[in-house]
Amino acid sequence: MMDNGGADVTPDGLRRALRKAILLNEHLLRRAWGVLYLALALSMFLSIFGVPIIRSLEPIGFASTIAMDMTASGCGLIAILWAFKRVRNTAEITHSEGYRAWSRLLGYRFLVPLWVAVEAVVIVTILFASSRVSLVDLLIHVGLAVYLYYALRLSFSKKLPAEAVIAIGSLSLSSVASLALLSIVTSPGPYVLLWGATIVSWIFSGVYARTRPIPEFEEERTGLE
Amino acid sequence: MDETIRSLNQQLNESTFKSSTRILILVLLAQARRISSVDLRTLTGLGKGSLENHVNKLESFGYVKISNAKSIGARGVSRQMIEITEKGLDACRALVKSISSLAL
Repeated sequence: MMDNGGADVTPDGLRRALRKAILLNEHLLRRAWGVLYLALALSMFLSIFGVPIIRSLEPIGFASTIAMDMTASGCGLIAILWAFKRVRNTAEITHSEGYRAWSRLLGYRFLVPLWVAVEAVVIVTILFASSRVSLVDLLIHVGLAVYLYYALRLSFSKKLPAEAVIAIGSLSLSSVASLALLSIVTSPGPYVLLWGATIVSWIFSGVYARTRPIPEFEEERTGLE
Repeated sequence: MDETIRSLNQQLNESTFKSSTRILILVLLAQARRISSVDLRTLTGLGKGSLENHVNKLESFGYVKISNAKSIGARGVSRQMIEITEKGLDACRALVKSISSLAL
């Protein structure tokens, strides 16, 4: 990185410094998203497979089901709040005023009430319309995919990293496919495959994101200072 | 446009911004808000002494704050954390805004 000591910064130097800062921060964000993919993979596993696994070991009532569901989604919420704080901080600097206003949708003032509302809908569905629980769950996952995609667009200025495309793609595909199969297929097999593959994709995306090297820059590769 | 150029000229005349490395460090901190000095060194590729010089300069202008935090693991050895201040954020926002207006 060229440092000219005390002389004036050239427009080219300024442009390079800004570009480098943005790219380095995207590297940090990519790692933060990696943690988020892993946390949400765990949350999905608990909410989709956790209750059936525990039910097969011993009978559990509504209260335990609700408690497990809220624990799973609560863990996901905490991970999202942590990662989205970084996204908001980035968007504040790298995006225009309009985007900054939209980035408030990533804050706890919006997310926590939203989570409470979603949990309320899930609890009411479990208690009064248990046959619709799967439908509600899948719709929530579709909403989550859209929301995460929006946050990813705010995080990365150019194209989305490969692992982000895999994560969002697998979640969207599984949600839409499950919705389409809901009225046709009653056996759990296809759903286990779809969501098992999605969780594995998210774990892979998380590990991949966390292990990316720091980006290299043209002036470093050519040996220019 | 003239106003933007004047504003940018004023900002770049400040001693802090007479170094592209300090601009890099400040913009990086503005996005991340808080980074350890070790991570900052790894990201920027700067040597320990060079980074210290730049960070001390930014601190002398009140743009960043240096503190020591106890790290979990590493036997409780403290890590030096560098955090951007409100003044630093304002300076960075103004700089990025001017540059964006000029489509640099």
